[in-house]
Amino acid sequence: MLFNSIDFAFFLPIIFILYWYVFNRNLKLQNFLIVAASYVFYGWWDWRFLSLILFSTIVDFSIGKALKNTHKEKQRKALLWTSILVNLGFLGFFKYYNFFLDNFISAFTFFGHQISANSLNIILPVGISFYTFQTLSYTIDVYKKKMEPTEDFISFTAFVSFFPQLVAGPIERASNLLPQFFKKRVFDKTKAIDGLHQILWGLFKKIVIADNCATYANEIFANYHDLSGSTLFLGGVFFAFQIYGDFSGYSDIAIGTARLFGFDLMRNFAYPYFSRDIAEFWRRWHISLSTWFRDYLYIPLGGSRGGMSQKIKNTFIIFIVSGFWHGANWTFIIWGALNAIYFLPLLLSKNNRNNLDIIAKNNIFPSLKEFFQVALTFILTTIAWIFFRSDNVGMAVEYLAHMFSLSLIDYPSVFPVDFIILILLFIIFEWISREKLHPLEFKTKKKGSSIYRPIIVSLIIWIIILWGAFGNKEFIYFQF
Amino acid sequence: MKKTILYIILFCLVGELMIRFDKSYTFMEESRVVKISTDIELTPEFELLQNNSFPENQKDFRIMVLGDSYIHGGGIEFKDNFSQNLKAMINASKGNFDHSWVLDISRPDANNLDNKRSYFQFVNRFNPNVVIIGYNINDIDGNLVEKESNTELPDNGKGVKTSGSETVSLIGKIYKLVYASEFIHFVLRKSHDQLKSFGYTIPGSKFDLTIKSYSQNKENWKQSKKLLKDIILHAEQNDIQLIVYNFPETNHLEHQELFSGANTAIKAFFNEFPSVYYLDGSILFNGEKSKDFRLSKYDGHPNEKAHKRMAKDVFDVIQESNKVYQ
Repeated sequence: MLFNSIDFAFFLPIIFILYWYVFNRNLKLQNFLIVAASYVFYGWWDWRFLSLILFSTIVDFSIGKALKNTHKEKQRKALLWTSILVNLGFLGFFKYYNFFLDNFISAFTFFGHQISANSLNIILPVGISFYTFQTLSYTIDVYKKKMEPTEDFISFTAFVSFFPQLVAGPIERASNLLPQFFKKRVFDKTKAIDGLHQILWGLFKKIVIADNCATYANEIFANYHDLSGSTLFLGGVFFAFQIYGDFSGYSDIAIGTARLFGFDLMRNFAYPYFSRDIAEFWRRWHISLSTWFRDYLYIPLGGSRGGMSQKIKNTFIIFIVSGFWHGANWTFIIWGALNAIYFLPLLLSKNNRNNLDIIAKNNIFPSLKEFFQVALTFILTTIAWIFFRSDNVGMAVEYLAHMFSLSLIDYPSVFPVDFIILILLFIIFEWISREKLHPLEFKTKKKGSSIYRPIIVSLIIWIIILWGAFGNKEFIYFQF
Repeated sequence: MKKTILYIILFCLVGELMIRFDKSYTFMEESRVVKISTDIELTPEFELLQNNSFPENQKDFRIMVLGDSYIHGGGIEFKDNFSQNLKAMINASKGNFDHSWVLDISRPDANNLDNKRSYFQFVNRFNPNVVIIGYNINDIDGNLVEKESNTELPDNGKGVKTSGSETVSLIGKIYKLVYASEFIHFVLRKSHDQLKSFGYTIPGSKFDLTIKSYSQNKENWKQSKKLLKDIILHAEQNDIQLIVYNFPETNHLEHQELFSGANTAIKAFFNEFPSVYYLDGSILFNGEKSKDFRLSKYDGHPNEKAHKRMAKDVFDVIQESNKVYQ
């Protein structure tokens, strides 16, 4: 089920009413309702793949319990590796089987050996990369004795399949989300209203910004051979806003929906395009994945301990794996590697933790230096997004070669002034709100604010109605 | 409660302003709407005709296409529309002719009067073997009266403001206010679109009135029949094969009952003339899914796939019945 579909518009209020008005007296029933709702939500796409989620749930729940009762390190390790192999095995089969097979055949062909093997027509289960990492975090944390395993199967199932964040994150940690299923939730009107505001902002980003950007980005990427460098650059910018609006919009809807049910999910985006360097960008973009890799891959690999060569190696590993996580294509791997290259100068000069605070804090405008830093970071990420968006590496290289030609200074042939004005207004609104969790978060109760809040909310609703690109377009991150 | 009412009022006011702004400045129009040219497409056939240099070969096969945006290809590229698909099919076929020409003089917004005018404007110059009319239920809307000048208003005193003071009741004032509201118009239009997508129609709406014009044999349908009869009789007398394709509303294929009143009347009329080949889109597309053939949920214009399919339907009729294929 898509968040931006009529089905979800009916589904959400029904579950909300059942949750708060029918099952509100019994925590177990509430959790059971979440499981049922989550399975319906997922099964709406393809019910057959529910068995995969259920299997992962049973495996990790059982391994968690077994880890509690096993004290021998060797056996504990074996249990951990069973969970890793099962979860990554599913992920590897559904997501990477054909990629490895194709590359294996290509490599043999390159060395003069002809081998034949049939690739499989495999459907990628929606959200498999997200829930696999979520369940893994549980087993790893239990193994590391960072948390106690749960005995409550329904709560654990609800944690794995929690519908707001099941298919595209944020990738929750068991230590944050699971305990919330054990506590009685009390309806908090302020929290629910804030959740609705965040859902609205997410819909705005998805339907108005991302889906309209997609129209132009798709047109430009489809005809990149015939367009000027400046138009191609604009195509990259449109895609940068498309993917931001799409993915952060999804996260906002997920977090907002969870708040309606009394849950707090982790923040996934923190205005990443206002970052002053790549390190800051990665602290603000897809935070749940970046921190997952940091905690479960980078640190176990040695992290920033050891010499500089160790740090460089680990940085490259983490970025390349992150790229590969997004999809079985060399474009994603190069996208990851490119980000690692961007990161390298900061690492070598030990400036990777310079910009930890919010940009231009307590100021209206950024300094000139900050402005250029933000612009440079945005341009670098946009160049990397071109690899992310392209069908193959060859296309990305050609696109960049066309882009960095003399026609880069021409007037773009695709230049929708109205829409660019709307994007600029969107950037200004996000800039003003950059200290908030989301732009429609109304914290203070200033005099007169009771009037301007509904006006802002109404304005956003009307912008969505009038200028949104409707048509149930899928979220980009579903494919990951 | 007070707060809720205040919020609703603010929401409506913001909506009223936004809709007016959107209407005045057509903001974001470029990204939302596929613009349709309101002119006849400058095809090679049309240019030759304009320059009076059309080759006069008796062994050429000539097809003339009439209609509105539905057959013209509103929302899609001209190269993918009905006439271009038909042209490709005829060119690829083996018939008893030297060269085939497809003159597409369909025009968005054309009604039955416009179609008649287009027909008589080009029929003698182009000398077609086949004429295809893409019929749409809204072809009975708009001005259908043939006059030298249609701009004059009838001089019967109507529309002249009477002297004396005018008292307007409170209900009248509210009605005026509501009628002037863009917000209300917008909500009604959207609600009706939504209801139509579920197979319902609002009594008294434009759509409802159009359908009733057919089933109740109203003046605009009577006038349309007169206009169409002129085309049919001329085609009969001049040995022109006339094919009428009653286009389906592709976004309502699952709800053909919405149009049954109109379709029955249209079919009955054309069936009065044995020389007319009448193709009923609601039957030809029966059982199909709207999502495969529509432009959007709220737009009944056929998409590329539907144009191709309809061109094939017509091509089959031509191939079966026209002497160039005998």
